[in-house]
This record gives sequence, C-alpha cells and structure tokens, in this order.
Amino acid sequence: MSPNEAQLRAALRDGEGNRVDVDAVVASALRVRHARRQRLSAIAGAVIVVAGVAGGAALLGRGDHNSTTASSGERSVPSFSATSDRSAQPPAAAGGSDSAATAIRCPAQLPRLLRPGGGATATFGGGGALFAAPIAAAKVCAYLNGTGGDSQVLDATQATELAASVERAPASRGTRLCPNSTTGNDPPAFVIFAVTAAGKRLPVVTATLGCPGLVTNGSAIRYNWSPPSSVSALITERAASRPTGRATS
Amino acid sequence: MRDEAGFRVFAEANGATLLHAARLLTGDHHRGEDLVQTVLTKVYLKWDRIDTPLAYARRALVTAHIDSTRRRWWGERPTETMPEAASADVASAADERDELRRLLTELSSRERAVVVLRYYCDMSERDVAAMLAMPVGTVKSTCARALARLRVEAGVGGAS
Repeated sequence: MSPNEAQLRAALRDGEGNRVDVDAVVASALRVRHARRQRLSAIAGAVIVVAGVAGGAALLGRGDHNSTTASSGERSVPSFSATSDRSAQPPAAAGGSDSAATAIRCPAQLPRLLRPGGGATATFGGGGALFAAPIAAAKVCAYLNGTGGDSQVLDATQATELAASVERAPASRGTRLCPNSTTGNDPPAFVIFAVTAAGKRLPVVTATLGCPGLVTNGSAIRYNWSPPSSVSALITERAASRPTGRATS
Repeated sequence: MRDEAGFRVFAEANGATLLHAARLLTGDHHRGEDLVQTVLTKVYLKWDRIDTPLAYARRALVTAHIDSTRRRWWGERPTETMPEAASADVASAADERDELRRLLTELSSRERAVVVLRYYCDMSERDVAAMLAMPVGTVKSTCARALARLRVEAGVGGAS
C-alpha cells in the first residue's frame, strides 16, 4: 500500500475516543503540588536555618572581637599608674610577647612603689609571687640617680632567669643593718616590665640595688636581690656613660 | 486553583484527543496515558496563567515526548528486527490502518511529532513550525520525508 493523505488521516484517527480520567489527573496534580510545596518549604527552612546560624556566628565573632578589643584596652592601661610619671605610660602590647616588650617605653623617672604591708617584712602577702604568671619576655629599664636611659629587652630564657632570681630572693629583710647614705645619690634601680607568652602585661616590678636592695610589685616584696649579669650590665653601662651624682639637668 | 471546574471541562473536552495524540507520539498505549497524564498535570498547575490551554497542552505533549526519547535509559532502543515485523502471515492479516500506525513508530520522534500535529491535530504548517520552534520550511521537508518513508515502508510491507 502507498498511503495518501486521507488514508493517513484516517489511520491516525482510528482508535481514538478513550476518555481521560479527570479525577485521576486532578489528584495527581494535587500530589505534585503538595510535593512541590513541601520541597519549597524544606528549602526555605534550610535557608532560614543557615542564615540564622551564619548570623549567630557573625554576632558571636563580633562579640569576641569586642571583648578582645576591650581586653586589649585594659592591657593598655598602665599597671604602674600609681606612679608619678604618667607620661611614661607604655603603649598596648602588640603581637607576640617580644614585640609587646619592645613596644614598652621606659618611664623617664624611676617609678616609686609603696612597699607592701606598710613596710613590714613578709606580711600582708608580701611573700607572694612578684610575677603572677610565667613570663616570656621582659623589658628592663635601668636608672641611675633616679633617671633612666638604658633599657634591654630580654628574651624568654633571660626573662625566666630574671624572674627566677627575683623570686628566689628572701621575702624578709633579715637583721642586716644598712648604713646611712652619705653621698646623697639614689642607688641604682631597675624597672621590669614582664610580658606573658600571650602578650599580656604583668604588674610592673621595681628593683632597687644596694642595701637593703628591695624588689617589689606593690603587693609582694623581696630583699637583697642580686640581678643576673645580663641585667646588671645595664647599670655598668649606665654608670660608665654618666658621671655619678644627682643629675641636675 | 481558582477555576478547577474550567479545567475539568477542558480536560473532558480535549482529553480524548490529547490521549490519542500521545499514543500516536509514543507508539504505546500505556506510555501515551502516562504522557497525557503528565501534560494535563502541568496544565492543571498552570491553569490560572495559561491563555490558550489547548495550544499549551499540545506543545507540552510534544516537548515531553521528545524529551522522553532523549532519555535513552528508558527510551526507545533501535533493534535490527522489529518485534512485530512481521512475518508474511501477520502482515497479510494486519489492517492497513494498523500497518500505517506501526510504521509511524519507526519514524524519528520529531518526524512523528510533525506528522501527528499536521495530520491528526490538523494544524497548519505555520502552527506546527511555531510549536516545534523550527522554520516552516523545515516542517515541510520533515513532513515530506516522513510521508515518503511511510510510503516506501508501506510499499515494501505491502509487497512482502
């Protein structure tokens, strides 16, 4: 057979007439719509949850940043603010302990700290630790006749050695008698700015050599301390560069 | 849907035509039913946004059929011998119309769509071209090629 157009049309129309189950179509469409809405709801819920988690994390991160800023602000408050030299307040510690120690500026004048316990020995907590935490760096400022100029940043080993030597010193003055000064000069002194490994500044420690040679941070005290050679060299250099006697300039 | 009654009237009025067109396109009774179910579901879900439901349904029918033939994992697979190809006894027993519809399944999906739309749905070549997104000339050539194949195949079948 070689079909013409009419035969083709007739062949195509043959068998038509079956009805569509409209109820089944509607039910199927409702199922599809329900599934689609469920899927959209799930996606919307997931988006909301993710956005909530991200927002919460952002808020927490912002809170951490604020607390970090606040704590660094606290660190920037000089711990030796009881001293008379406010112009010598060091800047906030930046970065690691070494850089934090390096950033500290030495006061122009030796800070004067009150002796703890009203000057008594080993009372009112005077025997406590001078450095409240392990130190990783320190800046030592040397003073001769009450005026400073030389300083040295100690690395972790040197700083630990310095702290240990200070802590080992006796907490009581003992029975040693000291002669009255006849020169009118102040004894050599040091100011120790200790920094922890986290870059946190510890309360400043002052050390005065001579007799009785006391070291204090305002709440603890040691007597008859002998500085390590790395620190005492500062005084030697300072004495060599300047004449003895009270500075008048 | 705001006008479910309108959809029901449309489906009852045109469902039979769409179902038969789907069977012609797929060449299979059950796959045709599945295809028209899919298309009418789409029409139902978009009923409020469709201006010409019948044209949309026809376009969706052809598009869904062509898409389904592209999915080879369940679509048509070419074989060397057609299952119903037929021995002389069967061919001789077959009705001419059945033979033509069997030969229709041997056309490509696009050729079949052109033939069904043109000769079953009585659409003009321009409308077919618009629906299948092809030039009118391509519709003409595709239709002519499909008819030629039907004639050749039918001639061979008739001769055998």
